[in-house]
Amino acid sequence: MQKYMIFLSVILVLGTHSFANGKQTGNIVKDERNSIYWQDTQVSKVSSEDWDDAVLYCDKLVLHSMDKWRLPTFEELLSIVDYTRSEPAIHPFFSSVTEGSYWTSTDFSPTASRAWTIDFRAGKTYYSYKTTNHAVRCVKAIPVGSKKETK
Amino acid sequence: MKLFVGILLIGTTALFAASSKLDDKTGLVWQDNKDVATLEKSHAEAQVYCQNLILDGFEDWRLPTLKEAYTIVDLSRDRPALKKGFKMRLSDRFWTDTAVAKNPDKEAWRLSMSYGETEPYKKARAYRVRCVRGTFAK
Repeated sequence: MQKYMIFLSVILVLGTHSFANGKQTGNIVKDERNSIYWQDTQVSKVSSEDWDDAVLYCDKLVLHSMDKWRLPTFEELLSIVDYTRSEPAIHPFFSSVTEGSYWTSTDFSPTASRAWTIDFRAGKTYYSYKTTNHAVRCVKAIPVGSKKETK
Repeated sequence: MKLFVGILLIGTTALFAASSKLDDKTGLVWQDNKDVATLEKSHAEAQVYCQNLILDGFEDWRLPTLKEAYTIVDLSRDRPALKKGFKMRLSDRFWTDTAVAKNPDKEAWRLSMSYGETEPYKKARAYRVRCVRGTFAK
């Protein structure tokens, strides 16, 4: 776990988003091990969508002037579960967490009418009907060019 | 001499290792003999069983953590949701070493290999065991 800590960092984007309840801090967590950014905004805490809408939501998301977000795979979402914690059982780099299930892009093998979810209260994994509503946390591949910038 | 024996041991293991399987991706070696399909143990028994296991000349076996156990799960398969290459293909529930954070004395995570879902369960219950050895790099 200590090893993993090195690969996660939080990018604070101050005041880029305004919500109904006032000015919010829109956070992005950089995950170098998976080469992705994680959405970590107020929306990733409250948004509850069925699977199709979750896919659409990520597809339309623009965050920190970045578009082309997507749902995380099961493997990606599992990697941010911290089983030494509970309620929520998530890596401490994340600040906006619903204590409930989140969608992944991974279909349930026997039928595509279900997809995998991970419940961040304890870390339980389950194949849920796509018509059910669950929380959404989008990811985005770290652009290749951004590596050059850090040099 | 020690080195020679060591090389001999590794060579023999490579030739006759029918009881375990190396996962090239993680570097972990998994127990894969008939005990995987026949034994059922409580969580405490499973931990002791792995500690005492001697297999393919190795003694450093242990119960896998939940995240280690998930590295041999293939969610594109089912019944079992197990990666290719294993002889013991069971759709049963397996113990992992990972305790449930909220109730670590009484509960641990069990992984069902039917579809690959995990849930907390009472440590006293008996489930299947597949021990592991090596260091989890990822």
